[in-house]
Amino acid sequence: MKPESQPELDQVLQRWAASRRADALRLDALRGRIFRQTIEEPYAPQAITLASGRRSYPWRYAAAGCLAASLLLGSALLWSAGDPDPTAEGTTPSAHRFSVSQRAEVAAAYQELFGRDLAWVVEDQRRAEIGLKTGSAGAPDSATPVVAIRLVIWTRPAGGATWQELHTLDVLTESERLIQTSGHTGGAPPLALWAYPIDDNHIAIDVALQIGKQPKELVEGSFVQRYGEYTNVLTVVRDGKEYRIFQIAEVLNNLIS
Amino acid sequence: MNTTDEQIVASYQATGRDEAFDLLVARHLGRVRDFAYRMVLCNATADDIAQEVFVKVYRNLGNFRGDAKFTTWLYRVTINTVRENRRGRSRHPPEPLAGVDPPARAYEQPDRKAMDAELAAEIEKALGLLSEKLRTAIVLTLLEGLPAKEAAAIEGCTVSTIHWRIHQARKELKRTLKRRLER
Repeated sequence: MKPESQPELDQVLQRWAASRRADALRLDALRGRIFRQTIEEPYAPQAITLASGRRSYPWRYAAAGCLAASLLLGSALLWSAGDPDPTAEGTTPSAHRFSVSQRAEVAAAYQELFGRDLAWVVEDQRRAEIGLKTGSAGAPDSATPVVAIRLVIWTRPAGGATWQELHTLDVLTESERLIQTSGHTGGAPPLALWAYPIDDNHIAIDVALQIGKQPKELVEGSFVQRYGEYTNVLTVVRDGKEYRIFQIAEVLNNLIS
Repeated sequence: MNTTDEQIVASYQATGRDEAFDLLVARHLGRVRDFAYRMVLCNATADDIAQEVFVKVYRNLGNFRGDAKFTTWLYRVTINTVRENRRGRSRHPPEPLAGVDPPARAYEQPDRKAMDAELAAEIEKALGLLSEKLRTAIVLTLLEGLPAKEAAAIEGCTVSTIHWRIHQARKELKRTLKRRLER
């Protein structure tokens, strides 16, 4: 028996269903929750973990690279973590996984190398730029939280369908440190950033980046976002290209020995 | 040519690359989350269920054998998660099924305003009064747009049973919403 349709009832139900669809903001937040949980997922088959190369952050190689670079301030360091893929493409900018424990491990490795002088590190796919404290600013303060932030810049031709991941910048910084990178070495844009954890699992981040061809456009903003949520913070159209900047942040205090 | 879900799953099984999982999330998160909402009628619970579904998918993708379409499997996982959630809720203090969402400014859905709030509340109440099997049948076919044959495959019953459930669901909804539909 095939049931007869009831146009009026069906229409009203379909209108209700359409009005209850989750919006992009909600889905972005949810995507962040899913990726956050799966990155810590202990159930993934071992073979898959090894094959993916995304769950074993090779910080030890990074540390070796740091030493080989003679600890040059602001120097370019080898950083070849397979996470994420710089040539990733898609019809929507895909979310990033971001493992707190991995970032804490990387932060601990840098602290082991640079000691209490280390103020911040900004890594792109190939290089790292490091900020050291000078003079009285180098006074140790074990209570200062360390913040891990990932900025991902996506681009597509304005009005185009396919997004390409342009740059990914991973930042480790003490709270309330002003970061200013040169951006000359790695191809990644110059970055200024300041972060401060606030109450209720939120973090305030001021960010400024230069985007596009010369003369580059400065895009900047101040944002408050929840820990672990991959959020589209800026959208810019410049030189016939649309850029979207996504940001995810975590506080690492109590995770670094 | 669009890559099928099954090809993406096969790629994941062959390489273990998480990009394949990411792509499945990008393709199906909205569908799973909206379906969960239509079943539980609560935004927060629907979010939790959608998250749990994709974590289960992540855990089990390596073992997916392709006996059914990926979307059929995904709906099954979602329905099972809805049922587990309901069983869990029954062990905890009950919460009203319909109209329970607190206002969430950050997630304000612009389309919500497009429908009369009173009517929306009545629809949710009416859906909430349906048995789970009837609600699943009407949601899968009318609101998710699946053919009865696929709904039957998801529910593990015959097509006739699905047709009967749709008929019963429509009858009950029409009775509950009678006053509204006559306006």
